Amino acid sequence: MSKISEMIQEAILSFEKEKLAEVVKESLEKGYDPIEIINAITAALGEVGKRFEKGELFLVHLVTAGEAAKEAVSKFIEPLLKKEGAKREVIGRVVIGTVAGDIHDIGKNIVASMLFAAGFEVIDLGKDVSVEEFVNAVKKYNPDILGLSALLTTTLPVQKDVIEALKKHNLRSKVKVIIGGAPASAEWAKEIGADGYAEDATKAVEVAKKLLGDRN
Amino acid sequence: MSVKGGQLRFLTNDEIYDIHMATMNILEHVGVKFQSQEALQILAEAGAYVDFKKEIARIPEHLVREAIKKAPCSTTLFGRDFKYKLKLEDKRVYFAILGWVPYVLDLETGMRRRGTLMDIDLFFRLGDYLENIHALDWAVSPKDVPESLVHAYGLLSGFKNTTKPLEGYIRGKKQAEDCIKMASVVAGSKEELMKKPLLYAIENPISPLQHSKDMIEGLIVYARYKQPLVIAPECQAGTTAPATLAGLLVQQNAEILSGIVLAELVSPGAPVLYGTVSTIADMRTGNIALGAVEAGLINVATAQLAQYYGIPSRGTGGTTDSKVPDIQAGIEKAITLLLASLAGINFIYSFAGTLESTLTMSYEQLVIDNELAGMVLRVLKGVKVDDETLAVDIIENVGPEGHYLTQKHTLENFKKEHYIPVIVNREKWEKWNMSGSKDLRDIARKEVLKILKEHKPTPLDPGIERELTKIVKEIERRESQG
Repeated sequence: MSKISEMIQEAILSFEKEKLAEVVKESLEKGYDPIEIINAITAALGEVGKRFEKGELFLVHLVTAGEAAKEAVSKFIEPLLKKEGAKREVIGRVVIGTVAGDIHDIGKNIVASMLFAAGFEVIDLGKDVSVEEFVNAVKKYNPDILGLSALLTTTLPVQKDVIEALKKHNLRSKVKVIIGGAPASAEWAKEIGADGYAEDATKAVEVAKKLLGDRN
Repeated sequence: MSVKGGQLRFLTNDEIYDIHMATMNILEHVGVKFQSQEALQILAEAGAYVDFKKEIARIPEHLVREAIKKAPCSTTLFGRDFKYKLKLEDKRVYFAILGWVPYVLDLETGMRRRGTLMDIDLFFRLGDYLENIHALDWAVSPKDVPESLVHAYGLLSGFKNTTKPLEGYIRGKKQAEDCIKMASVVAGSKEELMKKPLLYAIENPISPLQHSKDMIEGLIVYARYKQPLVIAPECQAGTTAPATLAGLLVQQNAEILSGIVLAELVSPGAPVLYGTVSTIADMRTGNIALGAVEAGLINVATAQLAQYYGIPSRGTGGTTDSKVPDIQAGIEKAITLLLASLAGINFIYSFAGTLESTLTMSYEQLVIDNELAGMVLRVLKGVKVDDETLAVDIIENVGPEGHYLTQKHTLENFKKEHYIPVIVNREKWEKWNMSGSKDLRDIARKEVLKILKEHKPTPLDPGIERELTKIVKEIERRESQG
């Protein structure tokens, strides 16, 4: 493991947001390649994910590490890349939101953060997002994946409404739709014609990557 | 490691006093049978009214009061390395496995069969690993070892496979002395063993109102060597005790206190535990019903009585009449364990891994019971309220709409405040379904296999092991000469 990878991993595994920001800032000042830093962050997050899967770490670690990474990348690395006319290499673009009538967004936020950490570009539309807003966002951003979250049994049908609206606007074939939220299930996904269902954040990353593969 | 119960009480102080007075009446006027001339002699010399022919000692109140005064309010039980210790006092709660069980659910086939020496080794190793099980015992009566050698083989296996405290065999003078001899080797000397006891022993009076010959012999040995001695009757309301719980408590109290009187006369200051294995009889079959909810009630009252006398307590909890680790086992174990623990019984025995009113042991159940014990210990810790836990700053910081998953406060506190389950499944349907729709017994079985494969108990000093093996060989020779 290179020196920079070691430092980044140590900072991420401390689960202190400030520590990672500090290390990233210092490394950039010392002239380390931003891409190398991003790769180190991705690798360290991979390690966190692995330990989470094994049960050694908990959700709070996963999210804290993901948020710290997101902040360090968007605050220090992306502005620098932009200045240099370069871009962070992403594996795909995701538009995500909690459907209309529902203001539960912690699950959606965790998924967004995990997808970002896994190398996706994530456009988060927030919560209580109307069907129309979802349709417009698909038109505007042309994402690879559209993520729809719903926590209430009463808002779950909106996932279906969004899919129907996409069909109406001839957008359905252009985007893979992935659904989630406590009352959702693989069975429901099949019923409403979604492309994927994930029951938790790590699974969401797995499903998103798989759908990306199907697309290419 | 140690957590206090005692939040739950059913008896008022007046009711406790009523039970005490009724007991004094029974002890002085009815008396208790001791199948031992030696014990009767000791009691007579101290001032009890003894009928040597009928083997009955009537015990006046002042003897009881003196015994209670001599019995320590606190006793510490050690594991073989002296690092692992249980402070049996106040309302601290510890959990134990048990011994003597004839049957075991085979780990491979799931079928009931007789226990073997191999099971003893495996239960010790499993118990050594499980963090919420604090004291161990040799679990099963092995069919491949003659009864006259079980104590020696069982204790050797215990010392080899765990650093947690162990039971000493109590039935018979010879056997009890063998156990003391072996434990003294581990402790370094008999003097050291008396200072830092490694063994607990359990005398079960035979209800109603009798102490058997072999148990008294063992009681005298363990009292002399100051190893924590439990006096625990197994009264069954309706058959061997009055059908009423209050009546059972009076009879039980007489049985326990008469045992304590003898122990403190033999060895003043001997550590004793005020114990119970009592419950109701099932009035349809006459079978003992250790999973009955009344066993929980009896434990609460027993804890209160022990606390009244200022003597550490031993009870039962997490017991069941079910034959397999199923829903009945779950219901009965949860209720009885929670009641005994909330009452603050110090030493909860007959618990971990047991089924069928302690006639069957199950490896899977032991792992499930470790989880149940963890949950109950969490309950006993209660809700901590202070500035840090009130978290006003944190609530303000997060505000409406936010979440707590990126708060340092969450990271620092969740493990302190939440019981993190080991085998209980909280996944949602899809993931559970994908991983084979396993129920808790399947999951526990996998966990058992994992622990037995990976866990290596701290090895016993080779010199000590050689010495113990030598003693066991001597006992074998002695017993073969008959």
